[in-house]
Amino acid sequence: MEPMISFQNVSKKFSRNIKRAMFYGVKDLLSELVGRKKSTDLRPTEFWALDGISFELNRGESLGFIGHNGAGKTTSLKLINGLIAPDKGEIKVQGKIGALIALGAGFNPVLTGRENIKISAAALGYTEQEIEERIDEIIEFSEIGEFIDAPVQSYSSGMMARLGFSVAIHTSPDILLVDEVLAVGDLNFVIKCFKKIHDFRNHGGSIILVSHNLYAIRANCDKVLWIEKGQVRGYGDTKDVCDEYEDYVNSQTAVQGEEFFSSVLSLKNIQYNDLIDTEDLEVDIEIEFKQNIKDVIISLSLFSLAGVNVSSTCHNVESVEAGVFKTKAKFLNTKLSRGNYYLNLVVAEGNINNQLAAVINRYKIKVERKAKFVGEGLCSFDSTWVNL
Amino acid sequence: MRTNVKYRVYSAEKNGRTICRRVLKAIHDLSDSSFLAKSLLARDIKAKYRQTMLGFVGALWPALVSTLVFAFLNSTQVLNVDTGDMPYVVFAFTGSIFWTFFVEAVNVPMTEFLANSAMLTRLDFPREAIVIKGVVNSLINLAIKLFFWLLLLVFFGVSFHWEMLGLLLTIANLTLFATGVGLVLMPIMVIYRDINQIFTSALNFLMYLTPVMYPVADLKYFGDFAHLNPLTNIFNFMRSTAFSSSFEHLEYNLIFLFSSICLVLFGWMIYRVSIPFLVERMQA
Repeated sequence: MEPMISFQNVSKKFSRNIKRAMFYGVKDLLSELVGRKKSTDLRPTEFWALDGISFELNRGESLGFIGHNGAGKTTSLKLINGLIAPDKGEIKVQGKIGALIALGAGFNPVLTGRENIKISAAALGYTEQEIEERIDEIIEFSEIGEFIDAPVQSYSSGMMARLGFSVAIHTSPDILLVDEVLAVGDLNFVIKCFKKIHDFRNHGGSIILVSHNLYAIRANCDKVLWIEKGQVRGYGDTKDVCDEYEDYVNSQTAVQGEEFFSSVLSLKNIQYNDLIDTEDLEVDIEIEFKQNIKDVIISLSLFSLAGVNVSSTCHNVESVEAGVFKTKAKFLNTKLSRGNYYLNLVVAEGNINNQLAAVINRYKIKVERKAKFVGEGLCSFDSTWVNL
Repeated sequence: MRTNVKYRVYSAEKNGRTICRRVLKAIHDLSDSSFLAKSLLARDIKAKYRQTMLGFVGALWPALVSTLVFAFLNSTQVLNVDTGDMPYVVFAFTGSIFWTFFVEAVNVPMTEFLANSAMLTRLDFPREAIVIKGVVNSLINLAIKLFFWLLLLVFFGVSFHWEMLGLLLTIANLTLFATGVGLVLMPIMVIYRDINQIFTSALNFLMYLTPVMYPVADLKYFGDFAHLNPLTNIFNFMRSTAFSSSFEHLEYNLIFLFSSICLVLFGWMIYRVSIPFLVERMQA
């Protein structure tokens, strides 16, 4: 069976200099008009935004695009959508494309939500009759309620996105292009959107999902294309490519974070270990206090890279004396899933908000899972199954 | 739902876009455009009349102002136009509604492209829709102006006659010629914005070389030049059908119609080929 989308060695170049870009545009346009081929070499100021990209998307499959900003993900979507033409290679597309890139493109602020639905739907290729048939469904899905007859300039950005998503998802496409659009809207609506996307897949639809959220990619994609600087860095099984990408991102990101120390103390030393499977996480801390302090709280928190607080522990000390204070904390039997985490330290006096010192997103802990890991999530509890 | 776009190939090497296939696709897109064009037109009209005080009458402004300016100049003898029995105001207003229509229509492809660039860079829809919408919009504006023109004729007691139907040929000529020129110039005017300014000034000057506000016979030094101007005979024909029950330069006008159709087809092709290039350079 022919794939729904196939990219064969597709390249696309852009110019960094806008004046040059315009000049090349005129030149390319003229040679296109007289039927000559466009130049396939780089001219001054040009670079390959996409360089020899190949992949396939089959019916019912879901493909994730990952990579840094400017890697070429959105350019790829534009090529698929036929908005711009490739400079090298060939793209084949089979089926109707629904693009969730352009939520609300063509909305006019002074018109009502209902009127805008009609225009937006017409631009997405609905016929008049189809709009009449589906408009109630669209309005209901968008949860705009009575505001549907108010001008969209009075809408919140979330409402606008909901309306846009609602129109786009109801166009019954064969292929859905989703570009980070689910970052807007409240959680309920995002969940609803993902449910709708699942339904779409269960009915044999194919999806390309562009996201920086690896959880969303892992949960929704069969395979992943990792693009870096216009080139394919990885392509294949979701787990493998995502793991590789995560390692790459971690090796690239210089640990920065923030720290703050009041004048009454300084951190002499902190030591901790990386984790394999369910080892204990041991943290040795040495703090030098310049004066006696009562009611000291020392808190350690584990954060995922995405900023989710996974676990915290607190140590209350009734009074410390001036001098070096040593303590050892242990997180027992950790059950974190594979990846990297931050260990954040806070020292406070009286209550946790009265901070004397804080070190945030600086100490990185690497977790490896040697044991076969079943299931997903930030951590895996021990579990048992009993057949009754 | 548009079903013609079931299978597409975008290739850099094998240029699958032969002339024949291009034309077929263009015709297909054109037939697909009508509903979208209608929706967009409805959007623009609704939005416009919700945000304006004068509503329909607003379309009248430019023509009205230039008529008043010229009527003033004529009354003070700065300009001395002999329009015979016809009141000068009628003469000037007639020329000016058709000229403002021409200027509006010639800018349609460019203004529509810029106004809809958000949609163009994000959605794949038949690109003809926005141009059709723009042209129909300027025709509606022309109809509004013509309505007031008829009132003016009644007011000044100008007689009506069947030869006035010749104005339909004038409207067709101006619409097609303006659209053709607009389509051909659109890509360059979108890429280099100052070309648009030069073009606007050139159009201003062209008005003085066209029998819009006075007969070209009144031009002393530029007289020959004015006769090279393709629009001269279009406006002469328009006046003859409207006021003297005759069809001056009918043959010229028919040939012009044919040439304009060819120009529109040529411009249409340029428009279609250029859109991906422009979209590439418009995106953020």
